[in-house]
Amino acid sequence: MDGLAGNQIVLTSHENLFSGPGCQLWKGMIKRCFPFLASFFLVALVGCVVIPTQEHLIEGRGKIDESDIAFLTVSKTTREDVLLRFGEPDLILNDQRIMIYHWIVSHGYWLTGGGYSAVGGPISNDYLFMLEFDEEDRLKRFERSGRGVIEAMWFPTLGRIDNWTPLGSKELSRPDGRLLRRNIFIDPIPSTCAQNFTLDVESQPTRFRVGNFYDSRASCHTGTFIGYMEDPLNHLYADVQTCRPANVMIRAAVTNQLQAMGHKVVSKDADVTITGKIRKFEVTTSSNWPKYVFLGSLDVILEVQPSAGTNAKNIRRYKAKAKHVPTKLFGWTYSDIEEIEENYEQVIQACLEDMQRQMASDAELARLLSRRTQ
Amino acid sequence: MTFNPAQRSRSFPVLTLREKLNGVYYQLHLILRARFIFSSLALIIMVVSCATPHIQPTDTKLLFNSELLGFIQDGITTREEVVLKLGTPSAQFEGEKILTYQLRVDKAGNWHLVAPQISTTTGFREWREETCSLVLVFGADGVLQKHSLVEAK
Repeated sequence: MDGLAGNQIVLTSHENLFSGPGCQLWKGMIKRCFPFLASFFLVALVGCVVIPTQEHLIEGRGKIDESDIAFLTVSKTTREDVLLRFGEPDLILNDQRIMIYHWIVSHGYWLTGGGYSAVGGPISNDYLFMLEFDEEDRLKRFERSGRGVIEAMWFPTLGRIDNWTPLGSKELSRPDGRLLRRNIFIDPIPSTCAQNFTLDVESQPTRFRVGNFYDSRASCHTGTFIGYMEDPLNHLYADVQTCRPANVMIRAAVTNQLQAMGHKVVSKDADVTITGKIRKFEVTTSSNWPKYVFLGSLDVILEVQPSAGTNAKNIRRYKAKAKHVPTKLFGWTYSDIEEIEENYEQVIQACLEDMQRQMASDAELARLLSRRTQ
Repeated sequence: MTFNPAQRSRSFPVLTLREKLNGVYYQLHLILRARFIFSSLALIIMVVSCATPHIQPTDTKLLFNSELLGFIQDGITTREEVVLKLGTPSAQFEGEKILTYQLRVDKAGNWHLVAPQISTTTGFREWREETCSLVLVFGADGVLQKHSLVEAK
């Protein structure tokens, strides 16, 4: 180009530009270097950013450090000591033998992008603090462990709990880390029934104290488990649990009913003390083709003990059953969860109301509670 | 470049419209850049200042002077009183010996009960921010023996 002036136009052809010996050399070099060039552009276009931050909580109530658990001594520390120090656990298993605290902290965030899309997430550590207690409510063993975000892919949280819990425990997880069975939580609130009974004109309201309601069911687990939901092939599909423990719920229903009958609940100087024993409180599902039937049953023993006089306990037993047949046919899925919960709630509510009706029409109970005016 | 004494004597140079517009854009650019820097700093400070809350027992005096839990006293309060006034506990252990409640404090300093939430996918309890756990231990006679308020801070 040395012989050309600055304002001259050079005319050339496609052949001259792309078929000369120099160009062939370039073409060969580009072909050979293509993988390297592609890699270079990929690296240039796809970037990864890591933003380190101070450790902060992203799941759970708070962290428990190694120094916090220094006071734990096997065979000495009690469940009570642990609860007073760490509060309510995040998971309770095996009839309260196992208590688990869980929290996740993050140390930063990663972000990677390419083209018009980007993904990111926290750089997290998943912690479990697991404790097992013996029959005397003393600490049997404990473990505090953490897993990084990569390790957590191979050792999911629920899988780690399954590995730690003793053989024969209710299995929590699938290999993919999801729950084996789903949970359905219900909170039935029965309405009281007092139409069958009115206080005698000569009677005064009895002051009653409500004592312990012992849950003697073999399958009570944490006191909230009331049954399984099965699919049409009789495969277990979900655990049905109550939000409140069964004994608390039944005790509240009994207390409300007695109050509706005109008696007065007190904590001191009671005329009678009422305690209870729960023998049965469960729901089942029956596949009565083509309908799905929800069944509930309740068996409660009430012990009415006068505070003064004899030590004899007067026992009243109430057995209640309820059946609910929804209009919907087979084909329930987990997306119908609210409808399923309502059906279970209705059937348990009907059981509790049946028990209350029996109490209201029980002449013997009325006699035991009657307090004649002097 | 030649020296022009007339230019030196001017305190404010006369700018063309293009130069003025360039100046406005430049100022706008500076403002946006400053905003970006400050917002980035604020974000970093926010993230860095979010330290991990630590589970620890706290002083219960403030809580038990409150309207909600003023009635709770070791050696006096019975289980019946607690259940009648606070309702269903969030959990109970060893029969009815140990009851727990979930509580939170609002901006005005008033304590509220919190209904326990359980994750349907993992089964773990789900905690709202600043939720405390009240643990009440009763004796065989149903009278409160010990209590503790565990918070995360």
